[in-house]
Amino acid sequence: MAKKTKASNFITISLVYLFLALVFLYSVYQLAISHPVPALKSSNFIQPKLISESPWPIKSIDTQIVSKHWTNVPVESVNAQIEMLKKLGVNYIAVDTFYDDEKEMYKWANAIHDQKLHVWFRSHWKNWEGDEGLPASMTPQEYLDKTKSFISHNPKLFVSGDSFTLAIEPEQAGVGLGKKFLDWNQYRQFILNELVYSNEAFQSIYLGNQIHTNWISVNGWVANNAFTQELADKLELITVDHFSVQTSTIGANDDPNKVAEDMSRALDEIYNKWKMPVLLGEWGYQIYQDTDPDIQAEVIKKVLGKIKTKNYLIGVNYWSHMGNHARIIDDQSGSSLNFRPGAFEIAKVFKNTDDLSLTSSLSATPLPILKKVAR
Amino acid sequence: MVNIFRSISTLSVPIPKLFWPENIRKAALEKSISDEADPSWFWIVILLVTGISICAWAFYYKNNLTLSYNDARSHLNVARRVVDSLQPGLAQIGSVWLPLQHLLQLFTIWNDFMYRTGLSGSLISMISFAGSNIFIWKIIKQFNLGNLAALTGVAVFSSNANILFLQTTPMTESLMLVTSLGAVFFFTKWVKYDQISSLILSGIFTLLAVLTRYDGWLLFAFLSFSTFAVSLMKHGRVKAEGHFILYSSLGLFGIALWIGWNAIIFGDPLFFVSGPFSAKAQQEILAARGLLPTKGNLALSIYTYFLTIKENVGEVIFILGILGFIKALFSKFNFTYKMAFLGLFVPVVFNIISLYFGQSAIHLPQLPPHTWFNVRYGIMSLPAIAICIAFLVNRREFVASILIMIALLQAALMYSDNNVITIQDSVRGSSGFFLDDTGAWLNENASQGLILTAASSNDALIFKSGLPLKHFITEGMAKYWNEALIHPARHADYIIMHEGDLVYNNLVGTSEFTENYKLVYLGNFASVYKKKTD
Repeated sequence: MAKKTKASNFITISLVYLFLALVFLYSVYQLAISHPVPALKSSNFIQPKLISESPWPIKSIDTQIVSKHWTNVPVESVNAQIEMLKKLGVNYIAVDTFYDDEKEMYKWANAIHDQKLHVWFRSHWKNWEGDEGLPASMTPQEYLDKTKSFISHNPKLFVSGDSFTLAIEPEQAGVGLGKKFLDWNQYRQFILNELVYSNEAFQSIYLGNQIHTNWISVNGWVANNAFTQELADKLELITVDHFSVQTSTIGANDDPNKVAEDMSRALDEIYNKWKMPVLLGEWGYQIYQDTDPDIQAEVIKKVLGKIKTKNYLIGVNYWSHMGNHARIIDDQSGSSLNFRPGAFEIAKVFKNTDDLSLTSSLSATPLPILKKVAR
Repeated sequence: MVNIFRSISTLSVPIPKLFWPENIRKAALEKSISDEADPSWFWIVILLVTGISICAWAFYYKNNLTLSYNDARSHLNVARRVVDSLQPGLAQIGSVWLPLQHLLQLFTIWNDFMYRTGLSGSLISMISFAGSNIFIWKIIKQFNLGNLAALTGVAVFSSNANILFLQTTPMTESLMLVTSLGAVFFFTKWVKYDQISSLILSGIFTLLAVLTRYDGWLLFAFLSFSTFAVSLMKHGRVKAEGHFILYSSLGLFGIALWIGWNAIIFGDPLFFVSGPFSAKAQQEILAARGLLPTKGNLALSIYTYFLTIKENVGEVIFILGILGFIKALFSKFNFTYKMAFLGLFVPVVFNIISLYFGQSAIHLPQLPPHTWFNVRYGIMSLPAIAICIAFLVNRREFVASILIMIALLQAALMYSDNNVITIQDSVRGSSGFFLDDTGAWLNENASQGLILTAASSNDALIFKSGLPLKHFITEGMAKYWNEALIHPARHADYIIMHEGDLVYNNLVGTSEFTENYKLVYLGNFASVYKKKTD
């Protein structure tokens, strides 16, 4: 009897030890596999060559508010908007539709390609930052895999010469304790992965080395403080979204010269730090409040005039065409939308001309009624 | 009344006759006499956890996280208003939260450094953390589980990444843990040794707990019942009544103090239950927006809270805790010990009841509405889990070593995955709003003149502005507040509000407001209006 009890105790204790050992090993395994950001699996950062144009190879206008946040915009309206923007001398139009909304993306991309222009895809997935009520639950690894798959399954969405930014301003997802990236090392690793994953995906649809994947927009602070020379070298350019000093006090005005000086200084600072070409990924005026159209035009003129002379600058993406305070097309959701004076200042620079008759050639275009519904 | 005195008078009997058989009584006494003394390294362990506590504070302070909860800033403001406001005085303690944390902060909150860094509140949390470790050790020893088990329990508790973060913040969770653990420890000691002094000390800690968080009120109810039940079994009805009255009068005194405070200051003894700043009022807003899915759904309430515990302690520790709980339930301890042990699980019951009745909300990313909110409530069950895991040690060094290593690995896993959920709540969830923009604007542009705003909605923003509190007309400044809600221009140079707050509800649409104020700042969370000068 005693022997039996002893044996039974021995088995029980052995099982307990075995269980604890398994739990311990499971914990070790979990720790070993916990890599929030995947390691680089290749060094394919290769980019197509930029085509030289005056004043810059990249002359872009962003459609973010409408292409990302408005829904059910009729295709005729999208076409008309693109036609209007083409008149300003752009060679790229930025589309910010969430990668979740494939149909909407095709609508915009087709309209742009039909006008023989290139698309700059610059967005992210809704689950990344937690847009439209969805949880910000996507991990960096899931993001990379899902986007790679998205590109591979949509070869008709892209045309040689387009640009695809895998995740725009990834810092918005959060860097630090409790956030998407634990630290800036993970963040930089993710940026490099953006290039590697998108290059691999484009290779799989026979567009390898034909789509620009290195226009990874980041904010000015990140460009100055969180980059390393190694990252800058691999990116081959710095794409910075920077809005210079703009007063956030409602009713107050900025000095156009001061705004231009601030922008000039900010770009110089980034260039001097990394000695790499700089692409102004987002800039527009005014982003905090409605401003007088003439004051807006004056600021645009001063800023673009000032930065046009910078040899290191390879492009500007004006943010954005409609739907917010910095608009260059009035967006009253009506049937006859007009350019604001600021649009002519952009056209003068993009077309590299001071021809004042340009104004008359940019006549108002009647647009089908827009359906402004926030997604 | 005569009965009550008779009941209390019976308590002086030093060695009561036990209710259960003599052989069990003797065994219990022998067991208690043979209790292991605390080893010489006990205080080294406590010193070590204190060091960890200080290092954690330094780390999180450096990372700007100690004040990342909006409530953390509000707790500081509540205490600070007692000494720095348009109408300073104790009445500023208010009715939103129970007062103990704020009363303790009064010793240091007057100092700008202690206020701005949040140390005034963090210090209380850190001392409470160290105290919680001591009580966890002591409780485990009361169950005769040995030094190794006590060490394991302390390791599980103190290595938890979420409690290590929360104990650096001026939140009330840490203080709640130490007061309730103190109450349970002395209750267990009373159960074991039948010393009246232990019951009184348990009552004193309960008094502190009922003045810290409403969780303490359920603990008070449970321990009051347990006191009566245990004493009834041991000594009979008369003495049980005496013990019950002795213990419960202390906790009841705390509750009465709070009700009296509400009656005197706010003219309604139940103002904390039904007032405009009460939890009920806040949950009604959530319910109206469909953000209270647990209300009326017991299964979901239970699932939500258990998931919250798991997220706070980690899945491995959670499973080990369940195993420890089962082992403890089937242990040789008699019913009275088990009553004491079950006192540790009051937070579980409290939170499930609160969720079910819609008195509180917990949001987790796994469940709709897929965000973080109040996830820290899960940490209230950590001491119970730590003590349950101690039951698994069984005086075996090898098991203790493995369990301690697992606890450390679990913590390492949380850090390496950047998955400390209480931090996520404060930096990504609804518990921390992004107020930097408006706070900075106020600091730069509104340092002159008085600012009208509802502290019940914008207290964290008030803190973030860095402006002295005497610049703000808030609910507690009755002399100014009541008039400013009708004639704002008489006092306020600026108004901060957002849709639905008290100022917004009173002023928007009134001619006095539209004629005298203009929008000067449109923030992500709140907007700022300035008095027109022309």
